[in-house]
Amino acid sequence: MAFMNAWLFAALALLPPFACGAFMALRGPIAGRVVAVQFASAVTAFILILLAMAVDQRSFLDLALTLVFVSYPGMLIYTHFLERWL
Amino acid sequence: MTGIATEVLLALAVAASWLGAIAFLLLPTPYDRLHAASYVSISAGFFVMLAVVASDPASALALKAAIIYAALIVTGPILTHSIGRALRLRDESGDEP
Repeated sequence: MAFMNAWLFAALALLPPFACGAFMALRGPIAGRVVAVQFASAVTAFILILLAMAVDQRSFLDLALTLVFVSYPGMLIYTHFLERWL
Repeated sequence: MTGIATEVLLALAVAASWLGAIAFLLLPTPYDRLHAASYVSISAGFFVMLAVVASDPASALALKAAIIYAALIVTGPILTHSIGRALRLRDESGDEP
């Protein structure tokens, strides 16, 4: 277990909250799903940050940065469709 | 000392995420769940950002973590308002699938 460090433990500990959001995004009415997608995307950004620190690949932090900046217009477009056509 | 501070901050981030996830599961309506999603992105993000800064202060890594947290703070309320508005318009139209 020498390869396990606090960052990796924290990243693994965030998997159940992510699974919670992903599970809620897969079931129920569409109004609940969009909230679950926002929840899951935030937890995913944290997991990516922690994994970047855990494996000491600092460039992986760009993935989290990209996810945050891409999920913002994605969610706005999603809600725009949600209030009109979906 | 820095290692202990980092581990404590990581534990706080995990605790905040779990608390938000439990609230997300237990709260009944999508409007209530918006609070849990906002709480996780703000509180857990704060502790994660602080852990990165405590681990490697005054570096490009800390700057990126701070930018990510700032983006979450700026975009989170906008998204929450947008989702809440969309849900209210759907409720008023009365064509929930």
